[in-house]
Amino acid sequence: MAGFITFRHKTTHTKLKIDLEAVKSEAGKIENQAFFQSVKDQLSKDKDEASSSKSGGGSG
Amino acid sequence: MTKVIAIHSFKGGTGKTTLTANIAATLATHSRVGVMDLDLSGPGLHVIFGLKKGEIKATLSDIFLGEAEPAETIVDLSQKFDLKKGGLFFCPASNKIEDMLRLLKSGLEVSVFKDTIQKVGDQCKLDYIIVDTHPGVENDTVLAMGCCDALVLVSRVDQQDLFGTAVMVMLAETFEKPTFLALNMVPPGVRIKDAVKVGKDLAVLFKSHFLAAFEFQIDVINNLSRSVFVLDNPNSNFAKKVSEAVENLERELAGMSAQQSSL
Repeated sequence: MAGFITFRHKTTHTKLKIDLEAVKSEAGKIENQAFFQSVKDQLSKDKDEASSSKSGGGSG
Repeated sequence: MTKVIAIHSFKGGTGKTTLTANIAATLATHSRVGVMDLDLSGPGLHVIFGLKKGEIKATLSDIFLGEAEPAETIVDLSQKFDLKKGGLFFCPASNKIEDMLRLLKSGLEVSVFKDTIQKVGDQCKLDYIIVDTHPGVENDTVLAMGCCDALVLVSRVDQQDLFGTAVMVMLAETFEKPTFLALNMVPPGVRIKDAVKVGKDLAVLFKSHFLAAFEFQIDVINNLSRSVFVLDNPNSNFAKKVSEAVENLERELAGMSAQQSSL
């Protein structure tokens, strides 16, 4: 799968090809890296804590 | 509440840091803006902002190393740039090689960065914090992406750049962050209206938002990072373009906030 973007040069037409499958594959590799996962986990933990403190807010 | 906008590019040489400084300064003419240099392995904003050695008491690098508090890093540039209605507050990174190497070993903590954003935002009563990051996908990039409210991706109209930009959009989606695409340094041979069309088409393709297309500006290049171009040249074509981009960004972010609060 690829997305094509044509842009007009003043004198020529140029086609840029962006391979969306390669984009997905590259993004997947980065998402599997340890630091990316640790940031994702930490943020999702923070989000859960924030929503649980909101739902229990005012009890303390 | 302070909105955090990270500015990023996949490749180096896109003019990201120059654009960051100019976007921040334009916003700061009417809003209170913090700028964080999270390009920890290649900081450059302190040069554009014209900071002298004695003006920097501590850096973001010191915070990550556990050697400073966020408040110690803030340099108030509002008076220097004569910003009467808004304000500009800068948190620099260390440009010492030994600090960069120490940071590589110690790593970056999400909680430390979030705490820094919170404290600097509260202390300076900021409307926005703009975060400049290192090109590519480094740990500081991932950290900024995870902790921001929106990500501006700066790219040239170039096949390598655009591929990487598409990867960044996909990574930002994982964190559920909206992205804005800015095409920079559009070559003189390409008409700006065609570049805008390319940007809009790309935004649809990448499920991003199109922000602006900036022509290659020889005056900005010739400024040699010695100052913030839009403040020295408020009537220039580049200043007008940055101003339009800032208005667009503020409008889109306000729309997103309104949408979120109505849910």
